[in-house]
Amino acid sequence: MNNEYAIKIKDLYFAYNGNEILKGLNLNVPVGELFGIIGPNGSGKSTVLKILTRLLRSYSGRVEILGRSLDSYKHMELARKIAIVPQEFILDFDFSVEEVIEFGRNPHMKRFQTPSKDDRQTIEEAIETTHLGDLRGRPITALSGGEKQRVILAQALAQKPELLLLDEPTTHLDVAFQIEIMEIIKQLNAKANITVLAVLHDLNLASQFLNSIALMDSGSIRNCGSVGEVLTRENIERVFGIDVKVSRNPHTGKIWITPLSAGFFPENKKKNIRVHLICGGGSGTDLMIDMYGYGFSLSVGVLNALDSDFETAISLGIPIVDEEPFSPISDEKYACNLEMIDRADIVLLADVIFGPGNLKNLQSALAAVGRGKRTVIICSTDITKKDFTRGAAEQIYEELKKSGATIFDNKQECMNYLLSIDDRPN
Amino acid sequence: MGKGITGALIRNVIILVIAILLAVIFSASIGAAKISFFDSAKVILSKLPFLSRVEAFSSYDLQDSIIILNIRLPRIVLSIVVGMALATAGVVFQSMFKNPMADPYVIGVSSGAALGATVSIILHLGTGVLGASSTSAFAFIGAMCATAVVYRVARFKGKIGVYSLLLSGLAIGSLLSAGTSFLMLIGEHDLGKVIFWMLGSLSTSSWEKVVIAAPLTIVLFLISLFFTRDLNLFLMGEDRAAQLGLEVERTKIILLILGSFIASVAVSVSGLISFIGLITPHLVRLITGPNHKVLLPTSALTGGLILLLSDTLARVVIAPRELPVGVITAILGAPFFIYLLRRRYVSG
Repeated sequence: MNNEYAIKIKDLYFAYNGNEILKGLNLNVPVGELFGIIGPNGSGKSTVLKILTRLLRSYSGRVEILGRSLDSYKHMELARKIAIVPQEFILDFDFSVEEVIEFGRNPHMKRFQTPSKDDRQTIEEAIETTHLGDLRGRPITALSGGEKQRVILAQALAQKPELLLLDEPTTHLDVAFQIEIMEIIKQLNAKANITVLAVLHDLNLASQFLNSIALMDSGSIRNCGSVGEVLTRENIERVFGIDVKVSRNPHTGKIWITPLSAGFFPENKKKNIRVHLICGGGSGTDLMIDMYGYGFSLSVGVLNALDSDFETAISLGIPIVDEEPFSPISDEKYACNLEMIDRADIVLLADVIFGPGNLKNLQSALAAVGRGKRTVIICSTDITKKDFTRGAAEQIYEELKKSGATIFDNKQECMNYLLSIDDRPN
Repeated sequence: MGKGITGALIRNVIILVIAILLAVIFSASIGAAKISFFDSAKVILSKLPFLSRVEAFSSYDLQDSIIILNIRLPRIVLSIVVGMALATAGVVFQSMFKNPMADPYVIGVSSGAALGATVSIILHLGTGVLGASSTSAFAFIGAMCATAVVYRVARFKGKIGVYSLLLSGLAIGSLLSAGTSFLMLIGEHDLGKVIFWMLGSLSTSSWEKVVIAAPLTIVLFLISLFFTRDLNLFLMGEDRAAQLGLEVERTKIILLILGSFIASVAVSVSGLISFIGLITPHLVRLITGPNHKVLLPTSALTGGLILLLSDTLARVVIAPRELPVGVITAILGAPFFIYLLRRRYVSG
């Protein structure tokens, strides 16, 4: 096949019961691509797949598959070109795994024909690719969801398609099966040169496995391009209406998207309160993401560079007082931290463990109380269990308690308290 | 596996053909006139091709031969034919509706046939065209008309959804049953006959009926064998079947016509025999699995065997009178059905 495009869609319109679902959709998927469509529920992603497999026919616009108009294909012919893996499938009759996979040969077989050598070989390849060798004789009804999904993938592969469509194929699967299925598909794309068009829900799965992405919203494509071009904070906010943090996964180098909670509740936006957070070792990450989502103005310190809380603060763009990695807090940084505290309305001390290196952070909380700052402490266990300074931390902590700091024993109560504070200017 | 399937099919067919032959001989030996199993065997085997040349089979009593060939055998053959037809229709509908509770009567065949037969009985139409009784002809016409109406009602925008088909079958069925009940009230003198017909019986069997029903059934059955792979695909759901290359709507119409035609043939010569079309596919599926390449032919033969044995029982349980065979199939079928139902719930 010398066609440039596996799929070429121009001005596609489709309405169902009077609702316009696709509104002038344009999409080109080059041959050999690992291509994805993402978008919110109801944006019309699955409708596109249904049109491509001719379950829906009353569309208007031009749809070309491998250089030919979709309508020009005969039924059997189309099933030899396009195979689809659905979200899930239900088969209540106990066919063996192998029989179900053999159904995929249907478009290649004549009536009354028993599977030829060629058919058998294709089925064997499909079984091998999907690691189903051990399950081939098992009844399909006895399989788990993940195993069934591999069987339906194998059935699609038995069709020997040039174009493989995936309709959220991993929605009902646990993380291990999700990765397995996507790995198989990636290899198929690379080795067998099958063009893949996947509708996915999970943005991170999409960025991890796909080359190009089309972002769909209310019936048309909004952005189309490489993963990095499409999965930006602005695009995602515009289409999904949530605020996200876009970073790189340190292990894979792929784009990693973290939804920030509560961002879509506008009434919570822009809390007019400045909070200075004292944390470290991961104790502040959740708090930062939550408070960021609720719209608090944040600052944080003192944190060692490379600390996980440090990474979070950096990616959220929160001002930091930072110290060299793995070094004790210097007097200079301690002073900087006190300056930050002066500018804050509230000082929040997270559930941190104290050693000689960060004891100054505890002292700065005490100093904050001394300067008349409202100081809030989260402490889920007895202080002695968090104290690795031979009692120095415990001593300061007791003083903090006496001096009128508010203490909560869990994060949620603390958040509720912070949210209940009236932020209107007096 | 392809070879395994073919092997299983051949094995099943051989076993069932032998079982049916033995059952035929046994059934032919039973009745008011005492004929031994071996005498019965001689008469029947002598009529089979090749075996007729064997000396030992030609030495039978002429009177036995007349009783068996003229009286008992037409009924035996017809019971096999009707059993085959009902089981075939059951398999086809269960796959098409993706529903193991479907039977040959789901889409109006039974209620249409009942109304047709009742009209004929009450109007005393007697013997009609081609030697077939007018009751058979009316039942057949009623069944096909009812199916056509059900189909037309269920069709929407060029598609027939299986649920709308089931529901319209139910609605049209109730309507026609109301008509039948009304006619039964009016023609109360013939109430016994109508009820006897509705329970299903093979007591009016004749070679004339066999000559019409057997070729039709066999041809329709052979046609249905063309569709075994399509029947498998239907079980994956219509959408999936389409994605695997099946022309769903067209195949559905063909199967619908095929299923209701073959069921109508059965009903027109035997009345409404219950449970054979429902139970047989289930029973066979337990043994062969759901693959229609094996399931369909095995079910057809098994349906023939079961109805033959049930009818033999119907002839002897309260001899010299006889029970309508539909009573026997219901008595045997209902408990078995309940067993299947319970099994299904326990296992999943």
